[in-house]
Amino acid sequence: MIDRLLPLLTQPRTAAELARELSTESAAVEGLLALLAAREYVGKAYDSSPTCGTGCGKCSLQNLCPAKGSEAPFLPVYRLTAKGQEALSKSRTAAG
Amino acid sequence: MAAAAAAQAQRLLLTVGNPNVGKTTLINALSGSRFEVGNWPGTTVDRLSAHCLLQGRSLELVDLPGSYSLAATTPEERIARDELLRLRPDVVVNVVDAGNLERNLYLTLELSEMGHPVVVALNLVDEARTKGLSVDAEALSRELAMPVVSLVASRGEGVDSLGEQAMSAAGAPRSLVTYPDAIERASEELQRLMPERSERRWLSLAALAGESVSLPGPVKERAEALRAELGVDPFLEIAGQRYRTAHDMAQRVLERQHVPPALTEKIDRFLLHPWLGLPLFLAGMLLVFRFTFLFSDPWITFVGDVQTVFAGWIAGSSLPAIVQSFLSDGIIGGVGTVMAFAPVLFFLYLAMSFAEASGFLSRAAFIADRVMHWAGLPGRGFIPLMLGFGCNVPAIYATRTMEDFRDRLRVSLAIPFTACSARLAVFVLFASVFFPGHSTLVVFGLYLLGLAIGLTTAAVLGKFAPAGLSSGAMELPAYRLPTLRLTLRQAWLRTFSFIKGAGGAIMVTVLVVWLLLNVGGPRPEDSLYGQLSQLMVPIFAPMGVTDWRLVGALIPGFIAKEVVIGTLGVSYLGADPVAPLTFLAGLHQLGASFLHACWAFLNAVPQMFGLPQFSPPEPEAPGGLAGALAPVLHPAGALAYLVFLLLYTPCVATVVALKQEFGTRWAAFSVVYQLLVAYVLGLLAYLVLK
Repeated sequence: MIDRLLPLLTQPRTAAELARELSTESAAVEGLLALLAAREYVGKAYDSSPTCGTGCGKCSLQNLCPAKGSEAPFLPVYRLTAKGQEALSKSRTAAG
Repeated sequence: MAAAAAAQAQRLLLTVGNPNVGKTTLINALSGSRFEVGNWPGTTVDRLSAHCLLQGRSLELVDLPGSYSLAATTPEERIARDELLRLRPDVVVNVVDAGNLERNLYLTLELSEMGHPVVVALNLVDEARTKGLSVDAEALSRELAMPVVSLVASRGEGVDSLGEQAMSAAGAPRSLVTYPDAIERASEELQRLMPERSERRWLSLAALAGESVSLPGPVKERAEALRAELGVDPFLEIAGQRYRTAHDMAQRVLERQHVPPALTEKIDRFLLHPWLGLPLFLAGMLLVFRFTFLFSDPWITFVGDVQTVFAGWIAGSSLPAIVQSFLSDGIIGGVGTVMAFAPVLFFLYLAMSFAEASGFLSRAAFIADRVMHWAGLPGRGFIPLMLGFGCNVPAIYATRTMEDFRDRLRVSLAIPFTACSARLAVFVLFASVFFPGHSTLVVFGLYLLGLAIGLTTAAVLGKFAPAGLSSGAMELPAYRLPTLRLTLRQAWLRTFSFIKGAGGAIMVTVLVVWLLLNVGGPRPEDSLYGQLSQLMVPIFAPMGVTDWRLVGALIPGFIAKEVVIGTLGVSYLGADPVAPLTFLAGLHQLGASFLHACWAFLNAVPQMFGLPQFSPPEPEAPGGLAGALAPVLHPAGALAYLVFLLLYTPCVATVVALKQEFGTRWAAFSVVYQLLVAYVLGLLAYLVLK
């Protein structure tokens, strides 16, 4: 899972987007991101937008919205930190 | 002696699980205790314990704080991990949320490495079912090689069965995750260095992953050396393998049910048709605007009457003239005029909330995806554009999820062209005054024009800086009839948020305009504001806008588009004398106006379906600001003014958002580019209609 997640995080992504790309649950990706963030492999690409997602409710656009599935109403976007990038290139080297 | 024997026979049970999965509820159900239960993560922040008799045996139940893993990244996780290592329980009940199985299984896999007997309590199966998820408990039990009991702890379902399993569980579970050979070898080497204990495998892996765990010095040193020797990041290898195993297991035992209702398929056959889709979408949006106009019109009139009554009361008071002018012209004339358009926003948001929650808007996005591709933009860029119809600022922030910088920039430069709700108030006013009988079509046309110019901008910029197209699969929800409560609530919240958000800026602007209007000369045109506005009139004269008050209102419009109406209100109505009213006469006027509004509102229902008439009946004699505007502008000039207002410089908050996201250069480009586009197209609109 992490081996597929790290290359995706070279670009900014929300947890919901990652979940879709990995065909998995948003909650699982959020857990993984929290674990990686605590170890500083992953960080927020931007601060959360204070105005995004405040009125989602039962909006049907949630199915299209990149923020869908986020527990928080905001739009946290994640990206690899320098440590994460180093780990990624290390694993790529090891894989040959 | 007997007490000692009972104590010896006492069994220790620990409940462990992710936050908010019902651990405390389960403990309460098992023991009959009354720990505090909450529907939020982190209700248990310390260990809680209770004693009870289960199947004739004494049992100590310990509820550990919610943890996603045993990696101790939070204080709760640290407590859970330390207690598991310290207490060495007879059995661990791992409470798992059936609706979030994959995430929960990560902890289960870690527990299997701890070596304590584990029973899985598969809780919240009822909530999972409502999400269309069903977990095969027997299959999960086989996968985990642990007893798995499905339950709904809050209703006590399955709790007895769990109690039985917990009392009989014994023996260490087998480790469920197989790591790469190098990690396995390193783990075994470390385990050989440790004293005999059931948690050795977990401890060795934690040491390799670099977790801070209490271990003898030589073990720690060897772990550090092994970490360096491995060549890969052991933490990522271990966590990655656990997640992969959890994912694979969840896939094998989860059943997802998604059967779109037959009605959805039937409707989609028309709405998503390659040729019919777009006209149907446009017709739907036209209905949204028609609904907005018809149902808001009576209340706009009513709010206008309230203003008149308040102004009359102020005029009849004994306050000094300057204070009367400030209250009537500044506060009532400015802010009050904007407030009069709250009904427009409320009914627009009501219609949009219905369209959103019913599933119509997501179809619209699906259809518009093709248009986005025409502009060379990825489909996902449509969502920020749609958000732009509400407010441009969050829409620009929402582009953050787009991968390519050039795509983000192009969508962000297109967004300020989309007509945000602040501009709607001006559109409604001008359209109803200058285009009687066609006001809905005019406003609808302006919305389409803004979108078209935005997309063209993106398409043209794409020619200079093309970016690779990316696409995402769109999941279309089943149609549903939204509840009235939800729709009303959303509409109210959005309207309130608009009024609250715009209130400060409107207040300040209106007061500054009032002040400038009262400084410099006795007549408004001699005032400082009048002189400044008149200096700009020659620029707008070619598009038929020659009244300095109209030109002047565009200046504060840069601060926020919603203040344009307020400014017009102050500059047009401020000078008119207001007839004084007694308190009773005012109340009588208010009552009559309210009854009239209610009657007109009821009348709007049959009118809504009175096709092909697409505009509400016009007021017989427009009063207030509408009446003041009619003589100063030709319809061609009014259209030019509307086009200019739609397209000119984004408001200051949008410019700040652009600057934050793309830097000063692009924000400045947006300001200048939009001014030019607005001027050219405004002029063109005037020449065509004239």
